[in-house]
Amino acid sequence: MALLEIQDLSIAFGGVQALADVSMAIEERQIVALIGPNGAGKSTLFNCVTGIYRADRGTIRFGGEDVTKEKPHRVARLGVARTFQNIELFDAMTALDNILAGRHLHMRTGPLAAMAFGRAVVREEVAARRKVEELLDRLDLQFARDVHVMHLPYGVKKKVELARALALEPRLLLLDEPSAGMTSEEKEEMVFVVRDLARDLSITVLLVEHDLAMVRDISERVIVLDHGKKIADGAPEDVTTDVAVVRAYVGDEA
Amino acid sequence: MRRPDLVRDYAEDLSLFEDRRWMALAAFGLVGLVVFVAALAPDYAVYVTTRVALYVIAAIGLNLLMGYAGQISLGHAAFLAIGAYTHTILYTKGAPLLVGVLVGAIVAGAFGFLVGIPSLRLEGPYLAISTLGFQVAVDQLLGRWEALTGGRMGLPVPAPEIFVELSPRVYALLCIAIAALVIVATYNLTRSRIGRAFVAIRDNETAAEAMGVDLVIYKTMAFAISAAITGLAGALLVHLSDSINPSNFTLLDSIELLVMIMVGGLASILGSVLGATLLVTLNHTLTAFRDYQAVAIGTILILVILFEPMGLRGRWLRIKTYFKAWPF
Repeated sequence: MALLEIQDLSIAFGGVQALADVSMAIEERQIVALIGPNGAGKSTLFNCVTGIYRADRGTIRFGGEDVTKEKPHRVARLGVARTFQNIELFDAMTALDNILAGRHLHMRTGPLAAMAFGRAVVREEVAARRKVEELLDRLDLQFARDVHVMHLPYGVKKKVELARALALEPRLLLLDEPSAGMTSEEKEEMVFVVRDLARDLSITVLLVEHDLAMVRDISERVIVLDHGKKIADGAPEDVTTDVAVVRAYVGDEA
Repeated sequence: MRRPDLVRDYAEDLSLFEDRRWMALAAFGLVGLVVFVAALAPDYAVYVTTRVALYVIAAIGLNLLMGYAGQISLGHAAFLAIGAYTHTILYTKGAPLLVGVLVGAIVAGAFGFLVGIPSLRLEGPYLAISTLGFQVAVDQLLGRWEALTGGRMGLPVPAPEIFVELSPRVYALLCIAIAALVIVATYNLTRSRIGRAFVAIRDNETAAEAMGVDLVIYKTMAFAISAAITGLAGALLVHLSDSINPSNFTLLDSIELLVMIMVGGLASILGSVLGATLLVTLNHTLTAFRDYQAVAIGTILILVILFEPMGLRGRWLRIKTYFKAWPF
């Protein structure tokens, strides 16, 4: 059974059909790239899966469970973590606190216990801290640990957001344009980081990406959306040379 | 005066004080305050100090909600009132003082939970209006429900007593002790998982939800905890006079709490302490200005906000940095 199964998903905003009968199945431990021109419905699809939007029709199943109508925090609890196209960090927190916030679901402390801050709370905080430090090491972010994220450069923010998503220890990781705005070195690094993480932590990854070279490097499978419809689905070499895909990306004359 | 450059483990990084010198300083300050109140201070200073301690608690309550969780409230004087009336009614009927105070805080917390429900749909100015509505409703209710609250005439408050009657000095010490506990407890709360969830909601609701923070639970929790702490202050405030009436808890008092945390520093426990201390002290010391007292206080507050937008806490951080870097 696929980890993520989307069936006939449709959603419209006013007169715009953002997604029209989109279906796909993502297998466990795959790295899948979702591509398509601007306005194709990629981010909308992410928002439907994570419960931010509610689809008009269709179903989304995650790990066999119907999550079509679940709220975002419930979907997160089931093991879906994400990053956002326009970086959504907690600006006034340090990088450390941002990533610690990502451990929320793995901690138990209630308000009264927190006020007393007894041994059990300290133990839990220390355990969370240890996990976060591992992620900081892994993503080479130690220098940013105590910096308020609003003062960090763009590429570093992207990595902090990735670390925060990983802190959830998700089964499925949704990355919305993880390399947007990055230099080519940073992009290359991102490819390695994501591939290693997916392998080491056995995470399934679905990512939106515009850079086709990066898509070829990173993913085993590519799904193409255009005007809310799925127009291709397959291995990167086949899909990126597909006539319909090329037409969607660069126009008819190409 | 700095955290040892070598923090040996994560637990050490979580210790309450950066090092022993700070702990000594805090202990020294507390002992000094206790000696001052117990023996040295004139009666009026004891009274003012008690008020400072209680408004520190109330301001911390509001700051948890506004500074940390980012939810605005113009109705916090209503929580003061609920704590005050609940305690007064129970205490008059013979409940022990600390039980009355605790129940007062809990009842205020329950109302805080209810007032928090609109925050799931409203934000910013709209939420401000809904909390303002609560403030006005509580004021009206206290004024009209004469059988329970004594109406506009209010209720008499029996003298504070725990086994024996407490003198103003002893009562002041009790209030200082409770304020110290509240300071430590709320500071702990803000550096815990719960505090991070509050700040996450303030900074970015979408991302907070994506991290698994349930907005329904955490927003109403922020309101409930905030209201309970402010209600605790309200319950203890009643023993500073021999009666209470609705005019002690008006919209103006809500605004004053707001000013305390703005001037002291949002999202800071220390800021709440500084802001409450400054405002209460000004209210009781600039009496020489008579009719112009309000003008004098207003001028001072404008100057503080103008030159220190982060509040008094911002000034403190700068002083601390200066000494850390000394002699450079």
